[in-house]
Order: sequence, then structure tokens, then C-alpha cells
Amino acid sequence: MTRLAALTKKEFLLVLRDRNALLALFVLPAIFILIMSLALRDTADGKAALLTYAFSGPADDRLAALLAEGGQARAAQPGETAQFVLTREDGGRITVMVDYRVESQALALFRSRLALALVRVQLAELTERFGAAGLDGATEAEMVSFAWNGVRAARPSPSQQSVPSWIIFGMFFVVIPLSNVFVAERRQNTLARLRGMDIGFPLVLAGKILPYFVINQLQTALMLLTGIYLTPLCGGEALVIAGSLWGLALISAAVSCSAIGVALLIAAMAQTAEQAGTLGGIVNVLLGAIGGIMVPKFLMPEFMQRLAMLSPMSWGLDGFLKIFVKGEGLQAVSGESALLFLFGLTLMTLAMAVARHRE
Amino acid sequence: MIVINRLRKSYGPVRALDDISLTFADGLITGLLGINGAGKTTLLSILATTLTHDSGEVFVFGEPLSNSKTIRAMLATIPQNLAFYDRLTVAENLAFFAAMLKLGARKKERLAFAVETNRLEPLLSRRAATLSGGEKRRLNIAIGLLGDPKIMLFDEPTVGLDTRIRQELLAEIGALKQPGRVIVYTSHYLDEIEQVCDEAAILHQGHVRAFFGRQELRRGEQSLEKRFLAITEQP
Repeated sequence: MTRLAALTKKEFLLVLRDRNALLALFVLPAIFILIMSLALRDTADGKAALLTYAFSGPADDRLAALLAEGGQARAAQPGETAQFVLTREDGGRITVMVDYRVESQALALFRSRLALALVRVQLAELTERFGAAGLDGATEAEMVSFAWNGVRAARPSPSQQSVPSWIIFGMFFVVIPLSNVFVAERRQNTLARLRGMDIGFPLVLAGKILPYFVINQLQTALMLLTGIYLTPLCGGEALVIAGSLWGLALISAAVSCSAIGVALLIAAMAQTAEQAGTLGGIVNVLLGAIGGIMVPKFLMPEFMQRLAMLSPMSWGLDGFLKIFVKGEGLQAVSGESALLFLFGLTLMTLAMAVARHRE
Repeated sequence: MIVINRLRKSYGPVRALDDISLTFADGLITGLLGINGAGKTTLLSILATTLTHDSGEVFVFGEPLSNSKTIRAMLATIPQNLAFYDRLTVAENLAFFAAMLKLGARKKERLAFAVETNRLEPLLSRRAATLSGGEKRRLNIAIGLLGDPKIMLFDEPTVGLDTRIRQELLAEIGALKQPGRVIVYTSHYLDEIEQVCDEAAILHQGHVRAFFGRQELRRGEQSLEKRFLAITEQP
């Protein structure tokens, strides 16, 4: 067995036998995905119940009554901005102006309600004119068209938001097992013993980078499976990956590089495992909080969205969302990936310098 | 044989080793005795090539210390701390360090020797964390023995052990003596030095203050203790 293979195997065994590390790396992020997917789903449902509409011209009372049926939509109050403004064009066609803040789910719900209402209106009109035999099969597309009243960014579904968020957060938690082992190796003179065996520092670090990279990729795979299969079983929306799997692999590798860089630097700086755990926890929570992990960035005020750009977790999240929501591929995430790799490699170099200085 | 000539090492303004000249003969166990801060660990770290010295010369079997690759191939450090992995089994720890040493065809033979010498056979499948204090010390030494070292540096290997286990361990260390092998043994304990070492140096404030040959050490009459107390009382 080569030295690198032995170092890698050792690190794997140490992590696999550390229950707390397994909990932090695999179980907690999966639980977070389930909880947050369900929590965000409930929020989305709440918004759907409050669909508001208005007519730009004379109100169509029959259509309004049908839209309001079932209590999922209501006419906007005077002074209230309606989410959907309906205009009856010449020839009966309806144009709907959609407010740019409207969620995809709300739009889909309104669209289906409107289509149903229009069919029922048409059915009633035809029945009145010709009796049941005169039914005409006009399609929804012929009767109605939708347009946005502002620039609208595609928003992730609850699963599309939660899964990458907690993948990234979970990846950065490699700081706990990595620093525990590293600090113990330094304090117990195991590193000195390895140096006495002519094991250079770059090899020691490589022996840590490789296994944690694999662990990070296992985390990604497990969290994706949680989003795709487990979340719907618990009543949430299944994760849909619209974009390229190669792009997904690239951004996952890049986030891993950053996470291991942060972990190595903290491990090199810390005097004790407790110090590394506390520092690592604080850094992760801060990066996550400003990076849109805990609160989606589209819900943040503008200055917070700008602040988010400082966090590598935000770069990673943007990359994942490009794949999940916009259906993009390898090229689209190359910018975020390059930034994450650069960040990770810089921190690894710094970690090596700090560790060497401390030796 | 290790020959040290006018060795100096400082940490900022603090002079840890000041003009040290010593010879460690092979086939013997040489003790280094001194209170905390006397310079024992600094001297061992320099010999282990993990710390550089400021001036002076050190030759290890004729090789200058700057030839660290050659020296590391001859060397085993047995640190005071238990320098192995608690969550690995005894067998996994030994296999890991054997891989680090690149033993090649000698691997099986060296593993068997290290296991047998330290009576680790019944413990191979146990995780290191579950071993007793004495068993852990034996594993620590076994790892040091894997490379068939010509130089063994023991840094206070009996710290924290009870009397019975200490005696067992000292007997095992004594049995490691062989022609062509230099063993350097540091300790706070005078009785250990008298029991296991063939010669000893007293280090104090970075200087060699006394050197005892085999006959002087064996003379008894508390001569080592008297000299040690007299030296360490000096400001």
C-alpha cells in the first residue's frame, strides 16, 4: 500500500468510527432538508390561498365568481395591488398581467383556476345560445395569454432551495472530524512521529484532502437522494434536477474544495479540538447565515443580498440553483466553481504555512 | 555512535542548549536526566531532525544531521505522548505506520517482531482506546521498532504508569539494547536511569553538568541522586 493510500484509509476509518462526525456530516443535513422543505412548502401553500385578481376594464362578474369559488382566489381590494390583472381583449381573448413577485406555484394554481373558470364560462354561454349540441373546443391558449409586469427571477421550489443549502452546510462541517484528528495528531506528537518517518507535510495534507473530498461527494449523493425520494414520502415536493449532472458534479467538487480549505485552516490554527469545534461552528453558521443557507437570498433585503456575495456558501448555492432551477450546465457554473476552487486552494496553502510555522 | 560537538539552540532570547558536547555510544543505553526545561526534549528533537540547531556539529554514524533523509531512515522516536490513533485497532495502527516506513519485503517480518517483542498478539484486534496504560506504552514502542532502527530516542516513556507496569516496560526497553544500536533515554526519574541506562548525562539550563559512566552509575551509594540534587539546586 502506498503512503497516500494508507493515509487516506486511516482518515476514512477514523471518520467512520466517529459517531458524532457521521451525525454532523450525514444525518443532520438530511433532517434539515426534510424540515426546511416541508416548512417552505407550507409557506408557499399559504401564499397560494391568498391569490388576488382584478379586471383592468369592466369586471366580468361571471368569471369573477367562478375564480373566487373554492376560496383560493379573491378580488383585490381597492388600493391593493392585485397579483393578476385580467384584461378582456377584443374578440374575447384575455391577457393576464402577472405581478413579478408571484411564485411559480401561485401562478400555476391561478392558471389552472382561470382555465377551469373560462371553460365553465364558455360552456354556460354556449349552452345558453345553442343548447348542449353547440359546444366548441377552444383551447386555453386561444382564450388567454399571460405576461409579466416586471423582471422576474426564477425562484426555487422548497426542495430546490433546501437540498443545495444543506448539502453545502453539511460539507463545511467536515471541519469537526478533520480538526479533531489534526489537533490530536499534533498534540500527541503523531505528526512529529510521521515527520520522523520522512513524511512531508504536503503528503499529510493530501492524505486528509482526498478522503474528505470523497466524503463530501457521498454527502451530496445522499442529500440528493433525500430530496428526490425521501422528501415526497414525508409530504414535501420531490427535488427536480433540471440541469446537467456534469455541472452538478463540478459545483459539488468546487464547494468541497472550499469546505476542506476552511477546515484545514481552522485545524491548523486551533490549539485544541474544542477550540477548533467552536471556531468551526461559528465560521460555518456565519457563512451560512449571510450566504443564504438559513434564509433564502430572494427573501433578503438588497443590502443583505450584496453581503451574501462575500460567503463561499453563497457562491456554491448560486451554482447549485443554476443547475436545479434554471436547468443550466457545466459552462454556466464555471464562474462560481473557479471562485470556489481558488478560495479553497488559497486557504489550503495558508493552512500549510500556518501548520509549518507552528511545527 | 552519535557525536555532538558544541551544539547550541535558542528560542528567541532563551538559550535552550548551550555548547553541548556529548557522545552516545552504540550498544548502550544512554540516559539524559534533567528537570523540566533542562533541554532534554530540544536535544532529542534536534537528533530526530524535526528541529534545526543554531550552531555546532552532530554526526550520526558518521552522517551529518543535515543529511536528514538518511538519518530518519535509521531513527525511531518514542515520544512521551501516545503517538498513534485511538480509534484504530492495534493491528491497524501497526499496519499504518509500517506503510509509512515503506518496509517493502521486510514488512511482515518487522510487524511480527514488533508484535512479539511487545507481547501485542492478543491485543491486535482491540481498538487502541480500549488498551490499558501499559498496553498503550507497548504499542507506542512497537511502532518505534517497526523500522529496525539503529537509533532509538525514548522521551520519558514511563510517564503516568504505575510501578509494576513501569518495571515491565523498563525490562522491555533494556532488552532492545544490541550492538550497532544507539538508545537515548530521557527521564525525570533517577531510579529508572540507574536501572536501565549504561551511562547518563545530567542536563541543566542547557548545559551538560555531569556525565556518569557505567561504573559510576552502578556504584550506587546514591551518587547520581546527590549530584543531581546538587546540580538542580543551583540557580
